[in-house]
Amino acid sequence: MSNGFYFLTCLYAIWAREFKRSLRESGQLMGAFSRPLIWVLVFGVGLTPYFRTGLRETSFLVPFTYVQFIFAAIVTLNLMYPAVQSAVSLIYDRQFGFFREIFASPAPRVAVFLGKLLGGASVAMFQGLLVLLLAPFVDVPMPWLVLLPMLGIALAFTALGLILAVRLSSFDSFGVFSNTLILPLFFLASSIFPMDPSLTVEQQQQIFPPWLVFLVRVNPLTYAIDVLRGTTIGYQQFDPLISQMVLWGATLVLVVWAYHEFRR
Amino acid sequence: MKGFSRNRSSLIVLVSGILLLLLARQLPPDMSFAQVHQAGVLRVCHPAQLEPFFLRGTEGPEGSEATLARKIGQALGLSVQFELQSGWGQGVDPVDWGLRPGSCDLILGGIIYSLETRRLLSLLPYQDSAWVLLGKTPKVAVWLPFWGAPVDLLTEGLGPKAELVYPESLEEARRWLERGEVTGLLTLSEVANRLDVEGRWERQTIAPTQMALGLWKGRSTLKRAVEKALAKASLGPAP
Repeated sequence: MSNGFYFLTCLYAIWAREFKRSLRESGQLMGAFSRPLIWVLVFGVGLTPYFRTGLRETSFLVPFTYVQFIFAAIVTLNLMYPAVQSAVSLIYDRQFGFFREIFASPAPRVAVFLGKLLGGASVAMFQGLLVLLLAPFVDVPMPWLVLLPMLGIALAFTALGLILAVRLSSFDSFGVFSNTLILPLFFLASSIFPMDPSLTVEQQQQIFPPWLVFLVRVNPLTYAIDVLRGTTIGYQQFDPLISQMVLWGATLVLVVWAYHEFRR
Repeated sequence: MKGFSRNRSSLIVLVSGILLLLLARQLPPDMSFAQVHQAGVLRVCHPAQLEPFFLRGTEGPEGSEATLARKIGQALGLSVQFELQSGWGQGVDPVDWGLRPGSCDLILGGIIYSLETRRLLSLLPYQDSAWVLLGKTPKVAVWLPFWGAPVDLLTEGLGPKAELVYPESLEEARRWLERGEVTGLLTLSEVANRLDVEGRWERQTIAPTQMALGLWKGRSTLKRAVEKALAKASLGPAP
């Protein structure tokens, strides 16, 4: 068996194990369906009339409805949860000795790492794609190009989950960490409230408190969601080039960092 | 078989979840069309006079967009009630024009599909159009009272040597052009078609644009119904 083929076989084995395991987790699947339903049907539909009903009632003049604005964020949320959660299996595998056997085998570590990373990202993509089924409900166009930023977000958060999982020893602390990470990152990403792009930072700080503007602007997820929004509803709050650079730059840094942690 | 029974619960969740999402997207996201349908009347807000889209007629408004509104109403099985908005165009900020969700279901009146109008309304483009220069520079009458028209961009596009004059009405612009008081007229192609039926002046297309009809944002079901009606209306005869 050639080295390349052996490498791919190892990678595929780990990837398939990750993917199959997630499909067997009916609880995780339920979350994948309930999140978009709650966010789109309850939160989005419920709040849309309060944000955009006429000319006088609008504070932010933006070319979309509220539910269309948050749709990209809901896709992101369904990418983030499974991506980070998939890393839980690393703790599981470590505790039950699976990784001792894997690392004792001649399987290349890069292949094992990539199998875990791509496995987690594939699960996240699958759950993210489920949200797109609701796109016609909110009149959001879904070009094929949307898969690219989705993949970037899935890879970045799987890598982040792996970094956390490598450093933590129990499921309990992982759950606490992942939630205290996912939710603040999500809510501080201009996911559920727009910052008017026509305003300068100084003007934004007159509407929102400066600390909030600062946290939103330093959050890389803000720019990732911005790219996703740009490809779906054609609206971006930040410079498209900068948003792309932050998305792919953060993804690269997290993947390299996760590999570095994984090798230890 | 053993594998199937082990994965059965996941399979059930997966299939029922996908069915639930597919079912959810069939739900109406709002009640806007149901309310209009129940009232039996489609209220169309429009400016007082905007040739050739809205003109005063003996039996209600006339013009291409008044006809379009009637066709849409007919396709939806609704009677059309025209709501004249006398404040339309009075002032730079559309927020001051007096348009209210309570009085309009559909907004028509030379609306251009642009970022400005998209920010305020939910738009359905219904016709390709263009900005044209009828005649030539240097002395150009500018007739662009269309919501969403990029006036600065278009006038700057004429070059620094162009002398711009602003008529009070289309009739005045026509008079200036016919008497040679101006060398050209910057306007929409629909207006140019109406003014220059015989092709007396040379015509230069400056940029393409789109005409649109507007609805309030968030009224998705009404928008979908109007979109379908528009497809029908563009083929059918005037009522």
